[in-house]
Amino acid sequence: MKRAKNAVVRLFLAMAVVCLLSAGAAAETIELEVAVFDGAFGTDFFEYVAREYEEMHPNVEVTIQGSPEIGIVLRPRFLQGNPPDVTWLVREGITNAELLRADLIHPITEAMHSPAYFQEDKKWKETIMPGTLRTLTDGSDEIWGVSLDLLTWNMWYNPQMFEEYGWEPPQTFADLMALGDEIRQEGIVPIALQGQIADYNIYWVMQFIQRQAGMDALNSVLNLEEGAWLQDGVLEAVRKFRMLKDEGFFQSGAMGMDHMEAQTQFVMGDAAMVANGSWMPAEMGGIAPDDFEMVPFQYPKFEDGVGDPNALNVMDAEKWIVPRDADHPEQAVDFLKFLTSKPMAQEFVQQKDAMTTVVGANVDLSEELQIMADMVEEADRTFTHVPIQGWYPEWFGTWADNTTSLLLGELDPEDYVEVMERASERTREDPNVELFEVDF
Amino acid sequence: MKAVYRQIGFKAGFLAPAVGIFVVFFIYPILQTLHVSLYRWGGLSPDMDWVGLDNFRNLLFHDPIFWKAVSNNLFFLIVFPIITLVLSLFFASVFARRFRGSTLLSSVYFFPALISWVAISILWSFIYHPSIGILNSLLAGIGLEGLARTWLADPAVVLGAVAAPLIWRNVGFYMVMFVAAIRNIPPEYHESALIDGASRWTIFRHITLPLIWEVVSVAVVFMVVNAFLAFDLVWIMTQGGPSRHSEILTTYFYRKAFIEFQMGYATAMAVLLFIGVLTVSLLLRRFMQRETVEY
Repeated sequence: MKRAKNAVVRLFLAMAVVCLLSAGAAAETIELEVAVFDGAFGTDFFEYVAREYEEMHPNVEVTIQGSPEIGIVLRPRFLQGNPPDVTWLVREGITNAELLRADLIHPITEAMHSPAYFQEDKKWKETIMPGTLRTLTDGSDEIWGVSLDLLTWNMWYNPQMFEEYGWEPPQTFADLMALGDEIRQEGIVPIALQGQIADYNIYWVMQFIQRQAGMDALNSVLNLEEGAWLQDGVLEAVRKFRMLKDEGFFQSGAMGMDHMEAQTQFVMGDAAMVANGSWMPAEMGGIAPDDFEMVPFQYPKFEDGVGDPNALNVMDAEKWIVPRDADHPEQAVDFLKFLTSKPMAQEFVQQKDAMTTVVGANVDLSEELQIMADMVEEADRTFTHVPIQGWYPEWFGTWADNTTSLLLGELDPEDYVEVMERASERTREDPNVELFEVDF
Repeated sequence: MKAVYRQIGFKAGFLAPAVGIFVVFFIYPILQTLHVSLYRWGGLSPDMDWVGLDNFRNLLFHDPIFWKAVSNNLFFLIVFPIITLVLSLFFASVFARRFRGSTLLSSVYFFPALISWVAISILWSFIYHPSIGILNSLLAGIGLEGLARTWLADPAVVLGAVAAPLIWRNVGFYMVMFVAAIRNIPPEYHESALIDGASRWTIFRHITLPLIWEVVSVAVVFMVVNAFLAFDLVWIMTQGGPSRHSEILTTYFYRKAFIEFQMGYATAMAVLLFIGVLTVSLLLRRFMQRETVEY
């Protein structure tokens, strides 16, 4: 009887253990919340990645939360210390630079040295284009985030128009000036420019400084070094940029137009060229006539410049990051590794017709993106304004204002470099501003 | 004595909810704003650095853009209430007399007040558009193409260009207020003045205006507050540009708080703006105070 009683007790205990274990297993389900910018790429691709990830990791449930104003939506959650596990922030609300300054990002350095998904002979870090990992930095060796998409800033021309008139995309600044003259004589605007988003015109100035005075000069400008703006090459670069305005290469009313209006002039055939990012085909898709073509090309070389003729402005979109206060930081970092794995990146390229920072994944691109991917390939050096804007937002705003004034004719190139030199000095000497260094 | 206490308690019981709401939603945020304005704070983490009055000192003595915004606000403060007041009083005195079509016409003038600021900003941006804008086309159509310009990107005219829709939207609103006030005046006053041979201007100056003065003075305070706090319009039309030529305090506040993430500095600006609006409103109320005419 006693034995039977023991058996019943044992059975009961065993059942209890099984119940507890299964309850434990159920509790181990990790719910990963991924908050993304719902913009040009939508959220469908990220949903796809989430389902693929869940298939590989049955204990993980991934929720994608998308919003066109994701920064504004998430701001209070960061303040409360209750952010999602992964974020991809674009546009207003919060920037990664601000999060990093507030020490709210979880570093991914260690994981970057672990084997990549589906390419175990390589470290994760080796599968990402190297320059793009250093653009969100606090000056230390830590890696704070990773980009999936790759954006470039370059010029575009209208091939049908160029063919009709027998024009060639300009290779040098002299070519650009001569071609601009020719285009103008045909009653066409050589370059569509916009003045409302002042940042866009900074990209012109950055590339002109690089082409004319070299990458070191650009670095010194971006590092707020003393005398950086007063270098002869920098002044010459600014003069050349202003020359485009003085020669009447931009459409009338350019300064009152935003990017969409200026780009519309280009796709409607009123302007022959425009400077814009690699996202332009997607952005103008609904506006451009069906048979309209646009082909990207590099900013021309400067014959008298010492800069790198292939250096490219890699816009470098905002990074995917894991917030410091994420509930499941390890799993979140793993999800980022999966997202930026070669097969996922290739899928991204296919589904979204966009470029990626993942090495070797830019295959089967559309014609114009392939040209840009080749430009990226050819560029030994790349640069971007992204970290600078994050570190010194006030200085960057001043730069934008002064560039507008330069284009309005309120400032001459000589005044422009002077006021920018003073602005750099003010920021450099401001005890509240932490200084960083770029080395593009 | 007990009855007195009971009565006080009774009254306090009725007042408490309203006072509670006022304290929680008005007094507390104002005090909190004052508190934050004494710190340097990025707005994301609980870490705030105490800087005392530094934010105010920097704003007042080291920030040329702040003063530019103040002077742009002063432009709004002078131009907007004066033109709006003159136009709305004029239309009110016209439409207060009922005539065939007056209701329809006054509705047309009131119509802009029903449109949201965002829609108005976009609408006027199109009116000013450098290539497809109706204003430049109109000027060209009547042979004045010399006056055509890039209205929202020309430093010389941008402020006026932004003030125009502000006036356009508000004239109809204040007109309706003034029409109601004028129609409340007993008609005998006007009739006897007319019989005495008074001109329309004399009647307006000596009868209508004094009798609606209370409404006018309240309206002027509203206009001044509007002139200080116009944000949507400027932000959507120019974002304070070109090169800060149309920056006003509210757009500069937004830029500092949500683009440059200097919450403490921006909050200090909000405090100064609050003091400015309060002072000007009180001064105006005092300046415009007259003995109310009973009728």
